[in-house]
Amino acid sequence: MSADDAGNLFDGMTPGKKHESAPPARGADLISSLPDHLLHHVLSFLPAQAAVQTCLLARRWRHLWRYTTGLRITGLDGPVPAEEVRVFVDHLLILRERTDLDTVEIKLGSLSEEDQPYLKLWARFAVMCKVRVLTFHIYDPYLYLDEIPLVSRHLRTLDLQGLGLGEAFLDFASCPALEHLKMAVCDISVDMISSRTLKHLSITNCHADSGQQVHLSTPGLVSLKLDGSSGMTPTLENMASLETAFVYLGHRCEDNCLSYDSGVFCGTNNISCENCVPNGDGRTVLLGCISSAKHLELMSESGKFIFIRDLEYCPTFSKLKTLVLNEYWCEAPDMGPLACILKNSPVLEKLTLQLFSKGPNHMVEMKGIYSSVERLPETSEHLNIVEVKCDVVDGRILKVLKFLCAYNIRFSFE
Amino acid sequence: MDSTADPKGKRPLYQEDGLAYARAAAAAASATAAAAPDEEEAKPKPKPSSSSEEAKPEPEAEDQAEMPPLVLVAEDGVEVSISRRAARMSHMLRLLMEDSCADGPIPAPNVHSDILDLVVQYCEKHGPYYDPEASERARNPFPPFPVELTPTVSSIKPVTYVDPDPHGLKDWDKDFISLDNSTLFEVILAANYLNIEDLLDLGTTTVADMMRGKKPEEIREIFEIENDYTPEQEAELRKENAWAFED
Repeated sequence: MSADDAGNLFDGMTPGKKHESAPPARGADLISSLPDHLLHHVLSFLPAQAAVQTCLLARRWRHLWRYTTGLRITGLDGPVPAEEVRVFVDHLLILRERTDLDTVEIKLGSLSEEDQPYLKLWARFAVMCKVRVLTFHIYDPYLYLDEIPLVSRHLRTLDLQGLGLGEAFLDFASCPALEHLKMAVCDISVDMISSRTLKHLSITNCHADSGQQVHLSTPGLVSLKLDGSSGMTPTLENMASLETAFVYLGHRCEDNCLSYDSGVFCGTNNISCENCVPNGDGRTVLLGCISSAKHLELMSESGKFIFIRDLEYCPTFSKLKTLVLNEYWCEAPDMGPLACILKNSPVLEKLTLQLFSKGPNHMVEMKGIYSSVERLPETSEHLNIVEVKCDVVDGRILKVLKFLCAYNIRFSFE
Repeated sequence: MDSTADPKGKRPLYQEDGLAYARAAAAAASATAAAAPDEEEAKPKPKPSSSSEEAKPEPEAEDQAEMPPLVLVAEDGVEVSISRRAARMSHMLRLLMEDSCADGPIPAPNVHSDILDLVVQYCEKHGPYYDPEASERARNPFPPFPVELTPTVSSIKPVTYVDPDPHGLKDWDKDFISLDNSTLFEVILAANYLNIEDLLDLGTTTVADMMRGKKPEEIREIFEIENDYTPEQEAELRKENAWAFED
């Protein structure tokens, strides 16, 4: 029998074509009663190699894999070195039907020099197929993408890991539909990352060269996450639609107070090193630009000057309802930074202090409530929950509790 | 496709066809149908929360919560009612409601009443929290692998100020979708007809999960797929697609 005769009864049809029919279910074979487009959808969830292998199931399935609306380029059990899938992907991209692709996921382990041009080609292929959600993870940083911009009217979500990204790539002017951008363990040593349409931005453990000041131009942002990257803290623009922000300035943040090591504390009133001196141009680096948020988590390792310096400008957090801070805000002898931010949050409802404990689980969790109707004049009237989470109740925690008691807040253990 | 096709005839597979058919049938039926029995109590509104991330019911949806529930007619003639809030989850029903074609009985041909009950159950559970935009955004098309290779990302985990699943829907979904194969596929087909994207995703990812990590022979067994290749055809196919079968 020739290969043609072995073809299935129903032609693999292009998606969207009407009058697509399903063969009558034979006895218990109910999965075959699903119409083609639903099976294409199911196959899109499988690693590409598994999807192709379904051609063996029965004649009906012979060509279904060619019409999936998504591609998952990775190993059968998880990410594998790129060279293990190269031959497979070469065949796949040529032999499948050229349909639009809704989602493409490329998750690969180690890379060699020879793999690199192929990986860039696959990403380009995805964009050409009008991909809407592109996930590109390399667990062997960094794969440096070429200095060409992404051009796509369809791309909505970009999830990148382990890539080196250049100035042209990070200017998303040619991606007018882009709404989500997530970058983890990427090299983003550029002057600017810009997108007018971006709504959700997450930058985790990324790298910027020492001394490189990255500017984020994302005026339409609704949520922001800056998590533990190395290099200088990015500068922001005012984001009026911002609702939530998580900022963690970790050990590799370069914005260091110069006096910190010698034990001198550059508090808001005691400016003694040049890094902690406000710029004098009235613009805050960070806090001012995120001051319209409703939920903030602001954490920093000791000795970083960003938050304390920004507080000098006293930005008002006019919509802030919930606030999560770490021990950084409680280090000054007079707890000035904590007092200052409380003063500038007129509608704050819930404050959480996560002290010397990274979470998500903490050994000790205390909830505090106002013990009397009288509140200190400079705190939000709406503040009705204060949580303190830590691992050990020691002298440092007691100092914070004493401070809060001065606000007429009494604590109980859960 | 003829929008007044015999309900016992070919199952409409595409949204446009199903919608046109349902509209025409609803228009014809509402002229003669008695008032729909008000079986369902109006669902209580979800508790207001301080987190602004949770979907607030839109004003239009609130009005609809006061209106009588829709009546769906299964292929066996049994009527199943669904509150308007839950009905929003179906793109087709949503359009019918917007066009005010939803007052009479709405036929759901080729969907048995038991399956329709399940589908309505899903929609009633998810309905109060349904926000079309957020649902679109949160839809993660690719369920994670059982073993993910992630590099150590040593940063503080954000305190979950916004619980991604405040109403425990994920666990509920897991229980809900543990169905025997035949019911599972019927639910998928019903969700496809009524165009309920979330339920369709839930069903299709469940099927994909059942297939993942299995060899073709094992998949055939699970789904009772009859192998209608001759041994020669199968051998030829393996050669043709050898690039996918290297181990």
